[in-house]
Amino acid sequence: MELFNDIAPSIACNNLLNIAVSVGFLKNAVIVALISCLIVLLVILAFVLIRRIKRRIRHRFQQLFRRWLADAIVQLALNPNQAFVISPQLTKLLQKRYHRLLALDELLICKKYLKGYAMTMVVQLYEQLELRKETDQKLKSSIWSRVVRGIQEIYVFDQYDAMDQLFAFADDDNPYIRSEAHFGVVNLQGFEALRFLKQVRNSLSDWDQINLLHQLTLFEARPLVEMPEWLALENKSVVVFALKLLEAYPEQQYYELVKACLDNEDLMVQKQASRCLDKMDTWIKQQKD
Amino acid sequence: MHISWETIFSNFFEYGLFFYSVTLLSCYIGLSFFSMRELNFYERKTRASDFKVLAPSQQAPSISILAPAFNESATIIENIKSLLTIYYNDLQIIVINDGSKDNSIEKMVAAYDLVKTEMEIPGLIQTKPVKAIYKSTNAAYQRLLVVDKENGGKADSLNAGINIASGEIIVCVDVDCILEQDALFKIVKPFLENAGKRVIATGGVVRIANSCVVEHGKLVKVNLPKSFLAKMQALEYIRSFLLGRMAWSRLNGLLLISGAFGAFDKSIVIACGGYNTNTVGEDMELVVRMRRYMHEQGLPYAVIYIPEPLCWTEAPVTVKVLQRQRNRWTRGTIETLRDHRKLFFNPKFGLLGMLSYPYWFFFEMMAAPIEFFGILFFVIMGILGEINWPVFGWFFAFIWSCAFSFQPLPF
Repeated sequence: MELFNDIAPSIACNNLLNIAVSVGFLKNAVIVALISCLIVLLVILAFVLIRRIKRRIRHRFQQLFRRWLADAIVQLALNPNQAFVISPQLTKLLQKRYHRLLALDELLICKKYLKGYAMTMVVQLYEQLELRKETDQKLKSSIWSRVVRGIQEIYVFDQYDAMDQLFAFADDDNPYIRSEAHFGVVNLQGFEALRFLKQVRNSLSDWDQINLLHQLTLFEARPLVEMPEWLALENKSVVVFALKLLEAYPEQQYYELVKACLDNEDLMVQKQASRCLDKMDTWIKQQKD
Repeated sequence: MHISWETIFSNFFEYGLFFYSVTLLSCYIGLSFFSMRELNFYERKTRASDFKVLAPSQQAPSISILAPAFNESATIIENIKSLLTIYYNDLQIIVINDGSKDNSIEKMVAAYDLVKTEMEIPGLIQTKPVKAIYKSTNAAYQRLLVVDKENGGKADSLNAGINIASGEIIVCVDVDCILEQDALFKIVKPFLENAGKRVIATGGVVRIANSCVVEHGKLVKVNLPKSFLAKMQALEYIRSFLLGRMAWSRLNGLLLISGAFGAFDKSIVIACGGYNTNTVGEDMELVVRMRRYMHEQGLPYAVIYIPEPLCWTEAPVTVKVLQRQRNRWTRGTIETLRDHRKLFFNPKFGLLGMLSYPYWFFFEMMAAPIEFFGILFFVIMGILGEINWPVFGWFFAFIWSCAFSFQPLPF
């Protein structure tokens, strides 16, 4: 019994619990809980109300902007080389940052789905509305998802003058910023943008590599002149990517360099080199035939 | 100080149950916080992702879908058709007929122009004998492989599939599940992200398909289930997947990838010896064993959960079937925790041993008996006149007012 006496709850703990389960204490606790319940309900109501108001404002603006954009694109297609005529109502609304960000989102969606001349007009509108300011602010943000959004806007709206900014992000410590920057530079410049590979110290994930290879298929193939340098880099993920590039765009002159990669200490490099050599052999054979 | 046995017994239940309840509620609050953070992170991370680039890519990893089937002749043809609609460059679909007693195999042979094929099966994992392997003569179904084997259960069928699979990643599905069109891309993407840790398994949200409209193996309209039981399960699934599993994924302490739809690194699965055929909870057991293996090898790893509905399944609508399913799940949990008891508060296994395993032990496995004894204790105390009813009434009111105050927000 002595042993149990030792492990039994202490008197202090007992007193505390006795207070906690006394009717008086519990009555007060219920009142506090009910008041907090009321407060939580009011907060929820306020939150829902604000959301609904915001949603309505957003919806109204989107409707207005979309209608105007559709008309403006048709008008401009009929009378090229003119600037967009923005209605006074829209001009007034676009003075507010909130509406400018909404307009930017609308243009982003629009640009993704449009092709040809209409697509260039969206870029023209982005510049005319000076939405680049908003994009630049996003690029300076300390929140990574905003920076990613900014990078996306740069390449979607063909802002070639921001290439240096994108290259600066190419070796960012945040993998998502880095990844979007790689995608962005290749989206804008194709094979030429691959020069960023030499400055990358961080790893290039398989997902990034797949995205980049996919993006490059949209450009005309160009000789991979920097290949010897890429294959000699210390960053193994870049070497693997270079080998994948050679697999997709074989060049016989680098055959021996690829062969040398079979002796690389990195297993992934060895594996990719072997795969690349297979493809190159087939390609060389096809060329001879 | 002298304390009687009666006091000890009473204190044990009173303080023990109180402590248990407080700890459980604290865990739920903690898990909600981590889940919210993970959901937010996932949403931001994938906002600009174009998953479809994976489909035609030559560099995307090869995938083998393993779908075990037992007496599924009524729906097997439609189910395979649904799997065949998945667009992915390097995809193999393996349907394993686990010694069905109906005419599943005959139906598959006729529907998909299957012929027996000679194929050497590497005996990486021991399974019940394979009777035959079928391949289609029709080019449209060239990705399909049907394995006919002796009955050995779901785990044995999956092991037979693993032996034959050529993919680097194996995706285990229940053959009657309906997959979202982009489910495969989403479940495979974490394997490609190389965030310093090797991803060994991924899973996604499984939703209830009861009362939903399905056409040609595709889900075209989502409806709330009509049956009360299915409705409750729909709610339970959302809570379980979005609260518990997302939070554990954030903490990298996830112990369970649903058997209905999960992707695994094949080489690690083989290194671990495949599915355990001696348990009814083979899905959980495999994940725990894979984690344990990675820990023992000292390799950094992750098990990832995707908070998007990737797979739809029919929930039981009768008490009998539901009871059978829950019985199986509980037995699976007990068997897994028993087999891996070495992990229990073992600091060598880090978060897995110190947090994940104890949580599952106390709040998943022990929850039912503890709650049962709690109620029993309350009833006995009530009969013996030991309950202070005013205190009980106010305490009950307090708990309910708290529950209403902190219930999940309705949006």
